[in-house]
Amino acid sequence: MKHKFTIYDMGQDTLTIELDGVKPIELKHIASYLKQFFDTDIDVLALNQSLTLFKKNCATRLDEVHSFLSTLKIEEALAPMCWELPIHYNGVDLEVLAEKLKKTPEDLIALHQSCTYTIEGFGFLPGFFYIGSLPKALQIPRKSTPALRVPKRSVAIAGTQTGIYPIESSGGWYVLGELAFDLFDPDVQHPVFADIGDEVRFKAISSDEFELLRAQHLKGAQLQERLLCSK
Amino acid sequence: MLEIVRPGLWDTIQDRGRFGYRGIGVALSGAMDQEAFANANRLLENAPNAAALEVCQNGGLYLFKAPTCFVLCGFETEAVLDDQSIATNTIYGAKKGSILSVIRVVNGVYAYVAVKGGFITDQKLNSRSMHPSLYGDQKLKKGYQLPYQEYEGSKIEADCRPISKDRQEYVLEAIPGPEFHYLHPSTDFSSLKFTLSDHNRMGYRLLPSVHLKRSTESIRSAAVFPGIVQLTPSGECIVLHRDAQVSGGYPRILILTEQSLNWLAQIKKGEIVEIKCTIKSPFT
Repeated sequence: MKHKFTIYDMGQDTLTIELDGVKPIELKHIASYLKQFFDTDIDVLALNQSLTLFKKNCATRLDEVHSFLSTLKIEEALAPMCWELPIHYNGVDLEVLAEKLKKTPEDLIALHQSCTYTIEGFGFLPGFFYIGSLPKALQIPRKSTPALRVPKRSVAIAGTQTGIYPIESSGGWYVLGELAFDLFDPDVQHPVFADIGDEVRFKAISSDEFELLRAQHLKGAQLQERLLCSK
Repeated sequence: MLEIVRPGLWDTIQDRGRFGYRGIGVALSGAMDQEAFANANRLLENAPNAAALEVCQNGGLYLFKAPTCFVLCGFETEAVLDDQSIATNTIYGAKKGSILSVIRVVNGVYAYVAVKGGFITDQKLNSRSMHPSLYGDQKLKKGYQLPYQEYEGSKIEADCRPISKDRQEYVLEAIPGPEFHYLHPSTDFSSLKFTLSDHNRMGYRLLPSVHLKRSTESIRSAAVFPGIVQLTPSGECIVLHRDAQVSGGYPRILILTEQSLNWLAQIKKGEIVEIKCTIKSPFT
């Protein structure tokens, strides 16, 4: 493998692999190779240039994992999925954020839609993914005092990333708007439609379009079809 | 059905936990004291993952609406079945209409009420362990009905030797975490003493008896799991427990063993916790 990596023994059932300069989509592929290597349902958390493996007694196979990764070849041209997420930009923090960044709320909304982003990893809450990287003009440290209640589906930014709250939670990110569908469904086998390494674009919709989409209750394959970027 | 006539301080349904979904941010969950939980199912000859009712400190009042056998597992716990005191780790028969009152966990914090066959509550992502992100509720409320299969045999022909074990002064065992070097090299890792402050199913706040000298660097969000000991900017330690989220931004200085997590679950607020880490850190 072209990336330098270190493996940490985190107790008998957990291994963490840190990889230098690895892209999110490469992490996704390395994770799938590791699943094949263990030949079983192994739980892999991909986050910030690291992979953490959870499997009974996996630490005893640290040396094997090391040689497996050393000889692993990852394809160069990996084509990511691309999702266009419909957002109603009516967030409670638009005004205060505009003031802090010395812009108008309209500028913020336009800037937020101006790039194609990448899903960099999962964490924090079930189905919460970190989407990067924000344009410089939108980057801001998280709030010094977190809000106690950030509503479900809130699209929020902090640091270099956007996040979408799958459930109501406390949180320190600035809320720009609301996603038009639910991100996480614990009642289906694949509760989240997207994966690490996928590309994400944001698209502003009107409140009418938002209500219409909410009423459609799209799920599973239908939802994926609706969100797939037009090439 | 078992009806929650009056809920205890923090009643939940738990099993061994939710495996295979940490990759999408779902917490492991599961019984806080996995050893006591496993004993309950072993005594009743249940499947090892059969769901049980977890009570914390003060239990509630529960009505059996169908006959079954049950056990109350954990350390010494004051409990009454239809006005008769009952012992822990012992099988009892409950009739339709029997009332169980779990008054308080005398020695320890968590205790488990398990019925023959386990509670067959709603499963989400292959587990019945309650977590607010999946069930909406943090804990069981008054009037909730917990389904179970009716069981007529009042005695089970099982190995039902009671496990009478007192809680000891445990020394928790740990291995170094990836950010072990954030602690000052002069720290005596062979015996770190803490006072247990507030705690819940997500984590335990430990106040060190000596000032832990440390590096003030922060880390990028990284994987965490039950057993990870985090060092906060104010110098306290947080031990993550069963409901911990999957990522965190504080240095991960130590990792407790699974057995130590079970022991920690039974330590009360204000008590002294000793952590021993004898392994030299392989990390730099």
